[in-house]
Amino acid sequence: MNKTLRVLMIEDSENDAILMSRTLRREGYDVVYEIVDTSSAMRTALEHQEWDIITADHGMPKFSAPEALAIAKELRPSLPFIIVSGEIEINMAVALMKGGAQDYVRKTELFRLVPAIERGLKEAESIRKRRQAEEGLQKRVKELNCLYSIAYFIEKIDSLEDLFQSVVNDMPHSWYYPEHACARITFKDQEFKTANFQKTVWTQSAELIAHGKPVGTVDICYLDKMPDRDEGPFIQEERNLINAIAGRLGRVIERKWAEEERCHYERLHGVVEMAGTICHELNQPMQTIAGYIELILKNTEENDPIHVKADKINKQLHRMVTITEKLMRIDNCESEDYAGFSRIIKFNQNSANNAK
Amino acid sequence: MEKKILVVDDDISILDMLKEVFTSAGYTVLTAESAEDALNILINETVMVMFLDIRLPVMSGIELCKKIRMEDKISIIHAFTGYSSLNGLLECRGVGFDDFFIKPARLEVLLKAAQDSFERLERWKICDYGLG
Repeated sequence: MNKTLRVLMIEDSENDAILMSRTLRREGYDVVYEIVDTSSAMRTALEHQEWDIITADHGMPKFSAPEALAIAKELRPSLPFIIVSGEIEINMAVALMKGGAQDYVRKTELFRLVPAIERGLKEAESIRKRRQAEEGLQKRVKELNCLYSIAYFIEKIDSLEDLFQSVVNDMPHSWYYPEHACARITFKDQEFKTANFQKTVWTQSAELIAHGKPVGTVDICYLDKMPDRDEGPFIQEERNLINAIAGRLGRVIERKWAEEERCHYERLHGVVEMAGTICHELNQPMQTIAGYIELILKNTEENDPIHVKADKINKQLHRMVTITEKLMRIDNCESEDYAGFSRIIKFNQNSANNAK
Repeated sequence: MEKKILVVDDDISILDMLKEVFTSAGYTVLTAESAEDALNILINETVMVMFLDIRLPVMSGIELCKKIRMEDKISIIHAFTGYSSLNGLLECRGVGFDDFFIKPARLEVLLKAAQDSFERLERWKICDYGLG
């Protein structure tokens, strides 16, 4: 099967072009070619069509190989550029090769054209692959850097608020166009964003999930239109990265919640233990007092002044009993302000709910 | 049948007070300040109604009740505690306490408990079996 070869020929002689294409066809290529002999025609051809290779004659009335090479390097630097010309001065040939031309084939030696083109194509392909690998590596490095800084923030920063703000500030650097990117994290009713944040149509988002429930979002926006890639202007690696960021933050939130719950539980546990000790210690003597007062009340007449006083003591004692009863039912450790200089456990309220 | 009550509490003022109360109500009152003392008393005495403090030094009221229940399934044993929670109640019922009073309890309530206990024992006719 023949290979298609799209050749842009910088050439003023149609006969030479036909000759070249015939040479290529003989070697098994399906040649598609266009002839241009001015810089504007060359620009138009490069901007509107895809090419595999450029061949350039040197001596043309309105155009020259060095001019053509400059345009090629400007618009399609990776496209192989081969000089196919009559005799040219050796210095000129060397200059062109130094400027980035792959080869120089004399028109009298067209048998060298095909090997030259094949070498050029191979070289271009390997350059393209290397560049792709480098770009991939760069994306990977960005992604790893971002995840590394997040791991660092998680380790160093204790409050969720500060952590989110640091992550948000760091995120745009890891996207393809950092200078056009801004970021935001929403968490419950809070919002953390870069100073330049603006919601645009070029947004990539991931949900923050904690314990299976959505609790916020991580957003990255481009402030200007960028070329279309895999997901709008974003590449697949960026989708993976934003998902990874949201995933890590979700786990941090879960851990934080568990810590808070544990702290609350430990505090409550301490309060309940303390309440138990106090109840026990107070109830013992109160039992003795209550018993004797009951005896006095039973053994005296109602109008006896001792009876009246004992009754008063009894009422106060029952106020104290109510307090220890409430203490025994403590099931929360919310505190409240005490006269502005201290905090005390809000226990009346707790026990009011439980006393029922 | 002699109506004997054993009261166990490490707080002597409570023992004194209860002894006075139950004695004046016509009961014979035995007192002990620790579980060990109570077990010693029970070697020689048959007591069918008891009030045990839960928090005692060395052996707790819970342990004491367990030990008594190993040999005695009939007597009526009351827990008498300075602090309680649902867990405390469950624990007490689990080891064989018949009733559960939180300090400070009214004398009326304790006297009623003692009276009910002896009425129950009478109804069970435990004397006919050589018990009590």
